[in-house]
Amino acid sequence: MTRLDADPQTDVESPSRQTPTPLLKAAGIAKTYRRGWRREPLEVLTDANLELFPGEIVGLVGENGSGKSTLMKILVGALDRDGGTLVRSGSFGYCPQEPILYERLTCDEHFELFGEAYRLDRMYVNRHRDEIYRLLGFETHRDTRVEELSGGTRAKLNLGLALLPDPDILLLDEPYAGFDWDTYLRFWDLAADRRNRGASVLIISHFVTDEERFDRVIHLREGATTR
Amino acid sequence: MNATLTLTRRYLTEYARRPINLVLLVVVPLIFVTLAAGAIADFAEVVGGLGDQDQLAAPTAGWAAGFIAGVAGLFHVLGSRRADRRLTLAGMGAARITVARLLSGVVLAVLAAVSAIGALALRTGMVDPVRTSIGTLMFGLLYLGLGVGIGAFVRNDVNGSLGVIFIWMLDVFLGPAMAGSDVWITRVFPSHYLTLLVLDAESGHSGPIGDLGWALVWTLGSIAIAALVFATATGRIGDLRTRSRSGWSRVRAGFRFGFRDYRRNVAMWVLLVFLPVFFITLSFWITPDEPTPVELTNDGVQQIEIVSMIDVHGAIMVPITIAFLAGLAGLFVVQGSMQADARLALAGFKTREILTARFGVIAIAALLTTGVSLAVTSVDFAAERWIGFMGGNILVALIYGMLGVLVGAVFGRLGGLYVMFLLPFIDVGLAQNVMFSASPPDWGLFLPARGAVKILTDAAFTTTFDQTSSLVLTAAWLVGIGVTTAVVFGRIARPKSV
Repeated sequence: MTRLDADPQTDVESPSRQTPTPLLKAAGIAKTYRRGWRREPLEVLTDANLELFPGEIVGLVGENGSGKSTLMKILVGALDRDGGTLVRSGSFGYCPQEPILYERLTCDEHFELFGEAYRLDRMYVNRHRDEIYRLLGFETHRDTRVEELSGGTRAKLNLGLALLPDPDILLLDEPYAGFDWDTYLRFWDLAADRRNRGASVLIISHFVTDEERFDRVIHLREGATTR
Repeated sequence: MNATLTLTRRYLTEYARRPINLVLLVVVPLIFVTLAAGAIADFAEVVGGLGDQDQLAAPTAGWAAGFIAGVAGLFHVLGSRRADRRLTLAGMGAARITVARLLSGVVLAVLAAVSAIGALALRTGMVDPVRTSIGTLMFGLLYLGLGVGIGAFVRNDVNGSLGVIFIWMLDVFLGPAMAGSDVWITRVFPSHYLTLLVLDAESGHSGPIGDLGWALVWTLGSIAIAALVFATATGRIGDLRTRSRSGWSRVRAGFRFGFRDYRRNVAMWVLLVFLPVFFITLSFWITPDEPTPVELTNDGVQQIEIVSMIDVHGAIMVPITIAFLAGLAGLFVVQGSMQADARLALAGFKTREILTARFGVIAIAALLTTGVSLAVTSVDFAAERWIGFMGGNILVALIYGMLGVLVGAVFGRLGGLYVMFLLPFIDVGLAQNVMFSASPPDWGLFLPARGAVKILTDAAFTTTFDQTSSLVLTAAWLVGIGVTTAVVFGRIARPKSV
């Protein structure tokens, strides 16, 4: 897992205009759900396009039901797309909208298990896990089972698992739902820190007030992206 | 070669600089053999071990040497694993480090053996010095391999020590010197043939390579596998952040946490304990003691035999209960974590690794279910052949455990619950039930438990195994359901192509 600090190709081809290579590029993404016995089509995405570059925080905004979460799931590989192309380079961490966790495992056990999944060294997992506990403020719950956690702490663990590998791309679907104000502010510090270290962060948001925190905003309307 | 020998010497120096190691290596065999040889030999004679008093004392030297070499092998590896990895990083090479560790380990095993042999010679003398000495040395090498293997595998000294002690206790106290050589399960214990060799007794079940051949296979195999495990563990290096964890490592982690998640489900334990007691015990109590005909094959001859209805009902309630519980385990283990498993797959687990881990949990659940059900059954019923009866029930449990996964994937959690409630009763309770008809109905041939229930019924009421075709049929069902389940699970949990 290497951090993409510069793009050698750009340096060679166009020294005067340095356009970095996107870490993620989606073009013409289309998705139609089929519902009920009659398999009636419900067109959710028709032409979604986006690029994520190193060192930026991008907001993905849109009305309820506009297909933001569907697009996010397609970007991480949780859902098949019906059309379009998708190229992703580098590691990624995904924080789903609803905390998807093992009910009877503790926070520590989640970090250990996901550390295996990310193929991380145990020492690294321990150190980075403690840093995440400290940043998001839920260290006292490290030995608590998920079924006994409050909604806010579940959301912290949900986000923490995405942050664990310190990935090149962070794909976060409303990660701060349930956070208190302090944690919400700390989240933005954390996102900015990742951005400053070269990561690309895509965040689905409903809040108008968040828009000033994004470097770029992508709007999703009627299944298509607009800038 | 020089580097390897230097490394070997350094390893031994490092070992010797911890005084307790030397004390253990020499004093424990001396004390153990001197004090315990006679008492253990007496005990072995009482509980039915092989050989006379002098012969029975001989393996005690091997046991002492084995124990010490096992512990030495364990700590020799465990305490310096990180340093060995660093040496690998520095360019020493995993193979060279492995050879050096094993060479120094062999020196330790020889020291332990010499100490134990000396103590035995002083304590009781030796009927056959050559046999006893070679056997004791082989004990040391065999357990050295086990200790090194465990040391390369476990992460802390307590777990490692428990592993060595547990294996040693089972091996010694259930081995041929204590329990004779007739119990089939003890034949797979590490020093079974080696003990017989030291006792100068023949097992009668060693086949063409003989007892000596098997003892050598165990001793050299143990060293070889230890070398392989150690080399793999030592060679597994990476940078501070990532390391190339093997698929097996992820399967183990998936299994460990999967089982932890499963065992914390209180409802599962309630079902597991109460249902067998309720179903099986009640079926014995409520059934009248009337004769009923059952079609059985005994020694190749198919015939109708008259048995008590209580026994038939009791015997058939076991697989019904097991099928129901194992099916629920399969259903809930996978359905309860399907979404989180899909997230785990996105994070880097392969779907086959997750499925293998889940199958592991289901297998444990199936075995637990079978164990509890059989324990409850054994209060009121004695099968003619317990092993066959147990085996047939385990097959039912495995089939239904996997069916639970498949049914859950197709019908979902709630729909699957109803299906898994009905299916065991239709299949095991009706289609394979010899209580309703001496011979189960033909349509039951197309249901999954036919073969397994025939195997367990055969074992419950006959003294010979006559169900080879049923075994093949069951194996076919197991493979079929296993493959289908893997495909369906893979389609659901696999990350989509990017």
